[in-house]
Amino acid sequence: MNLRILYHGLGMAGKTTNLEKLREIYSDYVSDRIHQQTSEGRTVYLDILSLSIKTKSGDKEIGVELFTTPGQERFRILRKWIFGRVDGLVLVLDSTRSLEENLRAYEEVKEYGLNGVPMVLQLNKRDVGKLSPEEVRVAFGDVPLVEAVATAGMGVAETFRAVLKEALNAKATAG
Amino acid sequence: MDMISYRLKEQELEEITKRLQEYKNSLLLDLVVLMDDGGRLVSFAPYVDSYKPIAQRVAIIGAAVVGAVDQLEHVISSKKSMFFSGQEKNMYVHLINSKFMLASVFSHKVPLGSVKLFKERLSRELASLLDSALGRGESMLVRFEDLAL
Repeated sequence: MNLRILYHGLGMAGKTTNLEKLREIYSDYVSDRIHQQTSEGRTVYLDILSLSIKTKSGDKEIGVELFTTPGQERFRILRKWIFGRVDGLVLVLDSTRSLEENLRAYEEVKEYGLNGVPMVLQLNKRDVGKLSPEEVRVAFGDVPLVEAVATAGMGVAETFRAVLKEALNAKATAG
Repeated sequence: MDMISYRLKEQELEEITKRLQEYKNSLLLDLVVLMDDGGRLVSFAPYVDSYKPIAQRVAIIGAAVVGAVDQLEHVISSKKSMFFSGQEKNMYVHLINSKFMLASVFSHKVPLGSVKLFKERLSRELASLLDSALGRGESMLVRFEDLAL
């Protein structure tokens, strides 16, 4: 089994930081890390963390590929392939920006037809931002929400585990 | 949802791997990778564990590049293959059908014409095997609680 989890959000929301922290947290599971970036460290196209996770019984293994989307508007044309095959979605919300701005990223999710995909919200930059979990809950209802400070690793593993659980549950229901 | 729309039986996978190995040996290629359009590795040759990480990388990047080039179709018309010329090695990626593609990695000593010629026959052989796998859904299901995470 192979799962693809997409981290999407505004530019600078902390998508790549999530992958970098997960790489540290789950270092024993990492099978590859690909990050194509500009000299300023901005993601151009491919930002992928591949994990191989065994079952407790050890008889099965699943591959999980975590992708981020390039945040900059000019790279939007490259997103079609990334958005095309997704089992789970993390919408990384930036607490330092308004709900309306963050909702623009969600509009794109809908535009690519991913609104039916299992989704988890991550409210990032909780240490500096003003956007509150209550405001987000009003907009998104009962979608699972994890508060995070990705640069410090807070909430990063929790977000990943939550989206993985949602994606596997959805597969089980569909199967 | 990324529901995998094909499933290969063990016997079919063995047969595919054997054909990839024969193709690799006949041209003295360095690496042959069969992947789907989502970048999932189907099989590769030489089929040894140490090659798996690079085969997986070729699968993802190969499929992603093909996916990106889709956006240029109004410029180049429908794509069929792509050729990358490196300093020491080349890579030739071609589409077997709408779902699967094959990447061949080889040194400059191997003529590109030979790769193009031999891949035609291999493509026909693989297409018949892969066609039968289309439509079979994924069988393995794993619960989150079962993961050693």
